[in-house]
Amino acid sequence: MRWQEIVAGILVAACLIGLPAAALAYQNHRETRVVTLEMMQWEYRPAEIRVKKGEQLRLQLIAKDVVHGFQVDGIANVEVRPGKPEEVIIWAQDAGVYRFRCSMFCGLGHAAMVGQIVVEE
Amino acid sequence: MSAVQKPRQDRAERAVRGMTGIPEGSKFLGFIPVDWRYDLTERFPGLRRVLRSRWTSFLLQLITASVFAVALVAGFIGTPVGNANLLVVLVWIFWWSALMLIMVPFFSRIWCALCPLPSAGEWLQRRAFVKKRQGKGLTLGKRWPAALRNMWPVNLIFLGMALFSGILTTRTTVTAWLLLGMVLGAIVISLIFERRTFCRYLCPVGGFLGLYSNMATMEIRHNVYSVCRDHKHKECVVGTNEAYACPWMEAPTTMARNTYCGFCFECFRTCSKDNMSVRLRPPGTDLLVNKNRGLDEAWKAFIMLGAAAIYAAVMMGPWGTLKDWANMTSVGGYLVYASSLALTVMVVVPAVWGAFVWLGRKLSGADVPFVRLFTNLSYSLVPIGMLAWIAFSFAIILPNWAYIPRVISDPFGWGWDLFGTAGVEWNPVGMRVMPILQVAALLFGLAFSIDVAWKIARQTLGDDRKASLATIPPVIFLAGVTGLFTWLLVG
Amino acid sequence: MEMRQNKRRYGTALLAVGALLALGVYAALALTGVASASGREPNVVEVNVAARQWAWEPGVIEVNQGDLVRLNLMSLDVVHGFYLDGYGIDEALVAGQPVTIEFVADKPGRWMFRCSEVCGPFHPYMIGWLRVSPNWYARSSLIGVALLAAGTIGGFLLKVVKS
Repeated sequence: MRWQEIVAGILVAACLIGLPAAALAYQNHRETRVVTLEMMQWEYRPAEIRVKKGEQLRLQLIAKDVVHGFQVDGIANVEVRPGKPEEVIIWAQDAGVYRFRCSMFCGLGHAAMVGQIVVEE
Repeated sequence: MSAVQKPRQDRAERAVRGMTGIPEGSKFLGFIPVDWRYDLTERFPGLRRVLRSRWTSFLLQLITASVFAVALVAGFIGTPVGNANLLVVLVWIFWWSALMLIMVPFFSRIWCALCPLPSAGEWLQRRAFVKKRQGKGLTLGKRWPAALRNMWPVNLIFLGMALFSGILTTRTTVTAWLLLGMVLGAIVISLIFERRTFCRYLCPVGGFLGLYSNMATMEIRHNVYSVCRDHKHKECVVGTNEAYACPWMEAPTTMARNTYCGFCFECFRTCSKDNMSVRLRPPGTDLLVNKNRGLDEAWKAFIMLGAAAIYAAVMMGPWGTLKDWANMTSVGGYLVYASSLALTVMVVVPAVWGAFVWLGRKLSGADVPFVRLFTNLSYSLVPIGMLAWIAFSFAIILPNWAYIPRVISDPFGWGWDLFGTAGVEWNPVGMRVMPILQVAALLFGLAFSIDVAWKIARQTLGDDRKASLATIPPVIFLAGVTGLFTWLLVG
Repeated sequence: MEMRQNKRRYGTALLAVGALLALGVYAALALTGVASASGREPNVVEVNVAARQWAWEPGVIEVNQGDLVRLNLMSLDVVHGFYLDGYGIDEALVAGQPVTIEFVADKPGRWMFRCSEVCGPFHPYMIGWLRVSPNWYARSSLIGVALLAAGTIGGFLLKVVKS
């Protein structure tokens, strides 16, 4: 019955290592643009990020002073604490302008803390 | 197929032998015969062949383990937004609802047959995936300490987790670390201790699965008692060359409750007489089994009942302060929340319930020890507790179902659309039916709890008059609890 | 033995009758409750509702069936959404921009209003209650509870008296 164990072992390896590996490969073969987005009272730097359609945007979010948020309607909403960078991956499938704004109340100018991602054809 | 006698006669034999202590002819709610059974393995011989195959358990676990592996990766490196992350949606929306609404009430601990968490540990321990390997496994094979061979460790571990449920259900990495920790814990435990020690004595999910599966409409039991009795070599207890002794350390020949049966089907594989069966039955029959009842399981019932009420208040309630506390927005607030949760489920619920049971005992003038009556009657909290969780779970799945197709197409929240369902709109369904479902669930739970309380009181006190009087205060408690859940869920 | 058996049947039958009665009353109330409009003059109820992470202020709104409800909604921090169970109303709330919605509270019961824009970790738990009286769901549940409890306790007392 040795062969049954070998078949089972191959299945286990294929499923438990192969599936996640395939997922990561599917993700990583895309064009990726890495952008560091600094968040501070009360602005994003840079306030505008330009990517090409089909590109993948890997955003490194860093809160410089207090807790800020990064919210793109229907796509992402992340809470970022100072000293603890977060990463958001956005796949720009459609051209257009996507606004993002702070989603954690961060003081007087909170409502003005906005920026945009421009996806170009 | 070996000797299959008349099961009806065999059940009578069992009742006579007092193995379960369920009086013959008992009927739930006055019309569902407690000893009704429908033997699926007898009716569908193909099912028995499937269950006898060692590949069945392996493949079931492999399927869930595959999904789990991807979900775990998503938990660590996918989007931190819970609703868009496969792990959080899979575990806290899909798995939880499926568990409470389908698996436990209808199929007992079938989840344990699918659970991917102990697989790695078990494969290592057995040094095999499918077939049984001869010789020593990769384990010290120690027995779990006798003092801990009960539900107390699980109660405490579950409570520890319950204190963080607000964080746990909303933060992807916390969920990921917890589940990874459970996988690693299961590996370590299986290398030191024998068989499924982790599942039986340490898994925080196992406790309420076990207790609430007493309400399930399915069971695995020996078929004809005399076959087991006359079979001196208990293969299901010691194992054979092809299959393992019961991994859950149960004795399938005398097992009378679902509580610690993990649906691994190993006893189907050991039994040379084909005397094991999977049967349909009325819900709740195990609650009447007058055997192995204990305060540990009673406390599990208190914890689950109290936790259901608290979660309904925190997660479905309109009180922002509670939510801030549960979310650890401030340390002080969180400590208030955590300590009152722990106090409520561990002390307040049992104390109030104890007062009502004590009153009933006084009223009836019964002379059985208080602790025995208290322990036994506590099992009547299981139906209302479970139905309250079911009512609560409707309010999880019906508004939030749309996240499931979304994460299937976009498991990491990276903008994928594998199956074209990433764009499914968040869209609650059945909101107008939900209160009706919840009220129906609560009333059914109350009726069932009252009936179980009465049956247990009669069983414990052995006298209809005393039992009647002793059940009156617990009925008031049960009615109060149902009123509370009515207010929390639809009031 | 025969007598004991009969007594048992008697007790459980009582319970069954109680349960059926409760379910019957419940069904009747639920049906008539949904169908009937309240006899009261409809009022206009205007409430200012603030949304923040992760709660509504006020969390509980009480109106009567038939009332015209006007909600002045405003988010204090981030983008939230206002979704009302049972009514299917869904409005996005951008921080600082007031939104007014109006509807006739024609469906009695207690309905949850919940956030419909992902607004942070506790977003799924951001819930408030709109109570539209008469709340037949809760009432019929409580009537059912009372009937079940009274029925069984009465049955027990009867049993004690007879024995």
